[in-house]
Amino acid sequence: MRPLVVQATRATTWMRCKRDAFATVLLMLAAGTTPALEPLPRAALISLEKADAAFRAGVEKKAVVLAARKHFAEATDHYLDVHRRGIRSPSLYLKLGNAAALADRWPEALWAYHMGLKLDPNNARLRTHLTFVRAKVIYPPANFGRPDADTWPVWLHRPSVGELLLIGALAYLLTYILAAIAWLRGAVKLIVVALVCLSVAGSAGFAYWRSNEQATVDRDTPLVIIVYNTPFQRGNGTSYPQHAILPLLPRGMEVRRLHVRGHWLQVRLSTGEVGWIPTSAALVVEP
Amino acid sequence: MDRQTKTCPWHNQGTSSLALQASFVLLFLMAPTTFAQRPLKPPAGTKSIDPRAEFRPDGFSNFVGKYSCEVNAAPTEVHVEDAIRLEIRITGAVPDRCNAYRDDLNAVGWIVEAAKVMQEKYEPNRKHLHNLFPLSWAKDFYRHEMRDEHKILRADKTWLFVYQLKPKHVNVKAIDGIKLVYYDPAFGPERGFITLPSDPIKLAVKPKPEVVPNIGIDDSAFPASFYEGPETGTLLAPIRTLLIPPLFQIALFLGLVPVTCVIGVLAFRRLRPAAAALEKRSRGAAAQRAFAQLRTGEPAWIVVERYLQERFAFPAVDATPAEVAIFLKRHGFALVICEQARVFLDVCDAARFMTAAAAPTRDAAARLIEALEADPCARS
Repeated sequence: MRPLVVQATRATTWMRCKRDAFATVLLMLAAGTTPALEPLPRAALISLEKADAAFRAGVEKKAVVLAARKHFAEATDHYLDVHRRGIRSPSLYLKLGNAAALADRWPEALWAYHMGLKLDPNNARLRTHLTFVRAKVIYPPANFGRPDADTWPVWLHRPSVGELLLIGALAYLLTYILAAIAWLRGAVKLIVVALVCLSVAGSAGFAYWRSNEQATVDRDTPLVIIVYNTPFQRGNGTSYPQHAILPLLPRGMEVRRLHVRGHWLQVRLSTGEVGWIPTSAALVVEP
Repeated sequence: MDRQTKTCPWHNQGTSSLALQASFVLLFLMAPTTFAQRPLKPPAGTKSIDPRAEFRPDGFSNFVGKYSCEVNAAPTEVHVEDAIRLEIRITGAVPDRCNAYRDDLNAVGWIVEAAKVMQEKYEPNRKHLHNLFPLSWAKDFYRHEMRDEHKILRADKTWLFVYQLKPKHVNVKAIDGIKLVYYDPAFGPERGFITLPSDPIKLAVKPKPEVVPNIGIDDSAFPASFYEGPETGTLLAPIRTLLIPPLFQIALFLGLVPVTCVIGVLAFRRLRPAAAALEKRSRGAAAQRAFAQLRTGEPAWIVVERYLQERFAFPAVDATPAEVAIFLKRHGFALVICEQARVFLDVCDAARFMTAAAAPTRDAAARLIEALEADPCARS
């Protein structure tokens, strides 16, 4: 007879395994998680109130451009302060982007919209405003550095990585269940349905892999927004010559950061040109 | 009238300078000897129009001749940094060349240049006009020259210069008068510098109104949604995201699902077997039942016949030994076994229908059943 202690240990281990398995199933089946609401830090709250007040004042005076811009610029600064205090929210970035765009600081608006879309890729307003503000960038001739057009339909939901995984898992599970039933009953139609489910699972798996690849790209080479018209140097210093074809990068251009050396960033344009810009001229979209 | 007067084609003020120059060039070409032999300085009696440098006062405007000056400004009631249009009208003329000459020209230059020089070198010019402006303007006004509005009316002997002044502060009470200092050769090189002040123009400067420039915005510049910020309450609205399980959990899931399905199918089929499976299992147990019946003393031929019916679904009742042999042969049994079954049933028939014949033993029946069960080639 085994000692009781050993039996108890094994029982505990089994329960832990069951609990882990249960948790796994819960994760796979999905649950949208709802983080607990935490109160805003007082300083952030004050900045937010100031920003909202300035934004409202700007809206009231929107017929007078210069006065309105002054208020919107003030609102932008306060929203940026809230961001610096660690608040991350699509709503915050939408407000920040709107205020910056109306204050004629649209490189910051581009940055804010990108930040918001990182958190909520399906936020239609963020995406619409991003497209609108992108149109303000004056790209050089031959469209050097112009980002590729977004071909994803607006009405179609953009599945997140978690959703892709959930869809794939469910389709995979359904495939085997249908195959098992088909095996028991010898039903050919069920096998066809199971094959369809398998293809759905495969597609979801492929999309999941692609999303992971994109996340890796975003992490390794984050998106950078050019804040002001910046010389595009061949090296990390002003003594290096400027790029022959593209000596100046327009404000608002979206590039990818490759390396950091001192106060200089090596960046790559969407059309492949590589060069250096000073750090002060760049806003990095946090991956 | 002296000789010089007679040879002055530009004596007529109405003739254009270009025509005058052309005339001089023509004359020069036609009579080179005459002009080349001309003395560098005109004869006595004429006066140099060049103002002597040693006698030039501060603020000399570089005008030579007789001039008058008139200054007008409008409006005179303005706010700080509002524009005031200032017109300086200078009327006068360069002295007649017949009574003056220039020191710095030789004979040829004198002929070619004289007409232009007379009219342009010492006539009112915007380049020298800054000498007219009082020093107080620098601290009281922003000054902007309206070059496009300057006018030279030679027929009227008038030069019009236009400036835009913007008062810098409310303490500006007047536009101080300009001081025109010109040189009149008629009064000699030393006393010929004449100062002609103009009266100051009174101004009323009011503070700049606190009015934001009303530049209309194009409503289509930004969609209305840009002005509709989300409510602050939504700032902390939770972002519904699905947790991504670790890779090993995903792999575990991928492996677990097929294994579970296979196990499930097998378990289901075991717990709820189909009719065919039940029948097959029942057939498998037919030999066991036959042995049990033999042990109870039941007649061997009955036991064997029942066994054949249960085990191989033998359709015939009370079949002949030949029929049984043929049936077994069709089921793939070995010929030896088929023959064994035929012999056994022959013996059984003999025992049943002939009184003298001996009945088959139970062991023979058991051996036949064992042989039938053991044949690997038979189709059950």
